[in-house]
Amino acid sequence: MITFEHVFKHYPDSDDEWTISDLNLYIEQGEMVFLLGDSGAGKTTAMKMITLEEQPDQGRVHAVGFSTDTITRREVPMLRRRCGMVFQDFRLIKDKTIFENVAYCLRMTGTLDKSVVLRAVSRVLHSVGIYGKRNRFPHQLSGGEQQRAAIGRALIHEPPLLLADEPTGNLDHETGREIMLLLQALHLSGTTVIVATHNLEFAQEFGTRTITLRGG
Amino acid sequence: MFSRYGGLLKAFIFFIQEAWASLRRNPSASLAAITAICAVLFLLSLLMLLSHNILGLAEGLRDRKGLSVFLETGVDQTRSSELHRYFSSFVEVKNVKLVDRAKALRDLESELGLDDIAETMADNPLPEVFLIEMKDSANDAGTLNRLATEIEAYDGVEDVLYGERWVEALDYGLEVVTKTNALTGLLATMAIVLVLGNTLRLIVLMREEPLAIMKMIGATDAFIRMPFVIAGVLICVVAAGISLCVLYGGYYLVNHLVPGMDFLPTLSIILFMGGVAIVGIAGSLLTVQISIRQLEQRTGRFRA
Repeated sequence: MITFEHVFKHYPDSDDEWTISDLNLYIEQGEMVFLLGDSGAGKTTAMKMITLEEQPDQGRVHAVGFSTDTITRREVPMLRRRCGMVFQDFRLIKDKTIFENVAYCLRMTGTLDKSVVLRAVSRVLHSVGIYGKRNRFPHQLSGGEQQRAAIGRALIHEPPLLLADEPTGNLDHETGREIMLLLQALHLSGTTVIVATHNLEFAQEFGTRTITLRGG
Repeated sequence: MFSRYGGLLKAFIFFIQEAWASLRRNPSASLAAITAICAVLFLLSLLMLLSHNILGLAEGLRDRKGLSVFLETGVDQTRSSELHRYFSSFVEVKNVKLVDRAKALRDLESELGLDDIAETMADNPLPEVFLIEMKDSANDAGTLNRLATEIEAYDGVEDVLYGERWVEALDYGLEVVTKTNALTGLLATMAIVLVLGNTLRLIVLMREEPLAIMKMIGATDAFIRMPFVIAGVLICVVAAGISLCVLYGGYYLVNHLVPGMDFLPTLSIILFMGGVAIVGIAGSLLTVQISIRQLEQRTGRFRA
């Protein structure tokens, strides 16, 4: 499902020689993998290379049928729709309601039929337990609720891969645990889940495998 | 087929809604753009209205243009008929009419209000005249001048007259009007693109965060850009509509002071609105493309 082959990455502004140095990694379909490491270890960079927000300087990354060395600019949106993404800061569009945030993902793929959108969005919001607050704006929800909404948005295309970058970083322990349970449920339903986190406890409790990145 | 068109219609409605939402999120910038573009378009439409009426007037005058060919005294009927045939055969000529001496005298008497010229004078002093009407395509000063020189060389022709100076002045005036229109249209286009560009750039910058999110969740470039392009077109079309309404209001108020003044014909209005829409589409596409690229380079946030 995901392969990193001799991947190197350097940021021009960074003091480090390499943010990621010769990373080789293979993640199978259906795994729930935790990427661990200190700040600057390259966890987020590795996630960004999967979705092609960043390109490797050397080596290549294969993910969900695309490879960083052959993908075209036109194919990047297709890749990103196959990777659901969840972030520490939720990244919901502030001036759209929760329903609209999720519906937007469907509409951008050409699904504009109101009844189809209503059914799909309602189903996914039910599954993440936030349907009752669908008409609220992000700032009207707690952090945990916003993260549930973000997971709902990530799931709307039923992606085979879910990437979560510090999904519990802005949440208290209990709420973070609820989010982890939700991610575990997705993993058990067959979705490959990759979580980048500092939280060793969650990694040990929920992960099928942990990978630790150290100093690139 | 219907479902395909239905899908396109739904997509169009969706983009209009998104465009309207982006304009509502930035009401002051949108209003400022509409006002500025409206002012530019009002000036352009005013010039179009004036040009339309000047050209109408000029066409009327042009119809009166032509050549008057005076024959020498003593030219017989045969030669006169030959000359009629020659003049009629010119490709530039639409019609040739002979005014014989008796008719010329009657016309002169009528114009002067006298009825005894023939009696007072021993002989009719007036020559026969051919009045040559030109085709529309050949009614310019250059052609008239060339033809007059050519006709003057025929045996039996005494003189050829035409309003050389005012024909040239009219042609010059029409050329000035046409060039002014073209120049104003060009300046208006540049002004619209500039105003629209600044407004859309501002709107794009204010949407930096949502744009980054849209890119990240898999929105295509076209999907991201379309609402901004439609917003640009909406600004232009609304501004054009308002400018035409204001122009009509002004025309309605002064119409009775300037009898015979026409408003812009429907075709001109359609071309005006269509032209503005095309400038809006082109300007918006260009601006949004540049603005999003600049944002990508500056922030590195929505790299493809």
